[in-house]
Amino acid sequence: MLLAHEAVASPGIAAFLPALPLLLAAGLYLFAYARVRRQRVGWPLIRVASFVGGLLAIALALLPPLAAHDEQFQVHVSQHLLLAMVAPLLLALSAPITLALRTLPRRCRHILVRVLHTRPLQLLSHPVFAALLDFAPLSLLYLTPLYGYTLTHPQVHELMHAHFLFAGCLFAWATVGSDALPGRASVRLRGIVIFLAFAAHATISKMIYASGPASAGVRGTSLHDWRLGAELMFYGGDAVELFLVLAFALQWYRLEGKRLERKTQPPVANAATAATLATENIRGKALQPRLDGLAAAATLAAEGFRRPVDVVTGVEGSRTRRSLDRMRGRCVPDEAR
Amino acid sequence: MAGEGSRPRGYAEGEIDSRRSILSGVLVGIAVAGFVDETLFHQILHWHHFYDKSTPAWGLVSDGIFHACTWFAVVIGLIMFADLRRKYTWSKHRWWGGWLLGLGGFQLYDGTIQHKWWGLHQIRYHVTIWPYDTVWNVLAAIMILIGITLLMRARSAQSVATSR
Repeated sequence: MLLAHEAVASPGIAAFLPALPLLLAAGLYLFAYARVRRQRVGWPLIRVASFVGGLLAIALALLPPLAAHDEQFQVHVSQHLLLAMVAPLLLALSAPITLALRTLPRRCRHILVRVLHTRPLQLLSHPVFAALLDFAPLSLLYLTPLYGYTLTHPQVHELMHAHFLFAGCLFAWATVGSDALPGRASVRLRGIVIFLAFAAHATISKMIYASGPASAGVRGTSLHDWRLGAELMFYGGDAVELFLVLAFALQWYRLEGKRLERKTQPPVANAATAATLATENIRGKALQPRLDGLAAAATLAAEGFRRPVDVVTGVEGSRTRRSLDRMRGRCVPDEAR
Repeated sequence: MAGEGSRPRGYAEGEIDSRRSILSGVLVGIAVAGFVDETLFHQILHWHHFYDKSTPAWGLVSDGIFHACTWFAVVIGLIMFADLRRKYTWSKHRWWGGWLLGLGGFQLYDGTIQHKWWGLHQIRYHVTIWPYDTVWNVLAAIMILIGITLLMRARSAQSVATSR
């Protein structure tokens, strides 16, 4: 995402340039939503709201009035919370990658699947790496004169904002993302990382409180303002982390619920069980596992869906097997297309 | 899901998940200890402060971990509780026993290790501290003892009869 150079003094038209990529992203998501609604398995409206909410949070952080006063430490801390915590959480919960996999043309979908399985991306989306990328620069930034440096150099300031957003998104995707990315870490590891991240945020906030603006190379801020900013970071971070933990726990609860439903269903024929398993990650009205799952599978088969796996991707039964083979790491002969 | 009132077929009649019941209770107990500390001592009485200037650097780390513990424990503990209830595998005695253990255990840890050994902060400043310390730790010990009693009773009740 391109972040435009912010205006320095009065909020002229240039200050509203960051809104353009955000509007573009919102437009793309809504367009994809319109397309996916026509498919058999829908898309929950709350995910659209979550994506738009995340973009709104970014807009709030990067546009005036907040951006115009960001030499004040409290304003800067609010920007940080919005960019690095609120927006990534909302964006991760809206599952844009899954939406893309459902609505992109076949070629692009295969490229995306292939990209998702590359080693660098697997490393980036590992919770420990994402947490380190998120929190190590945090302590470096506010406890060394690096922060003062960003205040006097606008390009580095922009870079800092971009880093907040990028690292925050990686962390949110790795821990509570609704996109079930390939090679996702176990529940236990993600829980431990969330807990440690919570602790790190609280500790760093108190360290910032204790150190003061001088050690951060900031000249115009009083100690009182600095401390207010540190407390805002502490309690604001608390609030957002609470929602993070809640999202994590509710995801676990839902998974346990599906496991319980599978345990309590009387054994049904293979097609229905396969359909149930295939819809593990999708909330679709037509496919709620019920005792008449056999009938549901038969209806779907009659309407042209060949396999439950085609239902998952929601397309009219095309080259899904190749995508899945790629996902499973098997060799796929090059298509002559 | 299966019909109202009937047990889910994945679990036998009277089957309880003792490990998860205790764990869920302990988590909620720790969380309650943390919240009482935050609201009663920080906000209402103002005996504790956001940052106690005598706190060494690693004291801040332990503060941060304690803080994370509180929030994390309440959410995870309550969701585990909800999961146990819908599976009908919840054990009342074990859960409350764990709750008392968590609450009393954390309070004892705070009262002895954090206040006295590490000296991170005190219960109250500018007063004679030993009555406060005594009441704090004795209450904690009583809660732990009641918790252990509940757990032992639960285990013996299960071995005598199949019901919890």
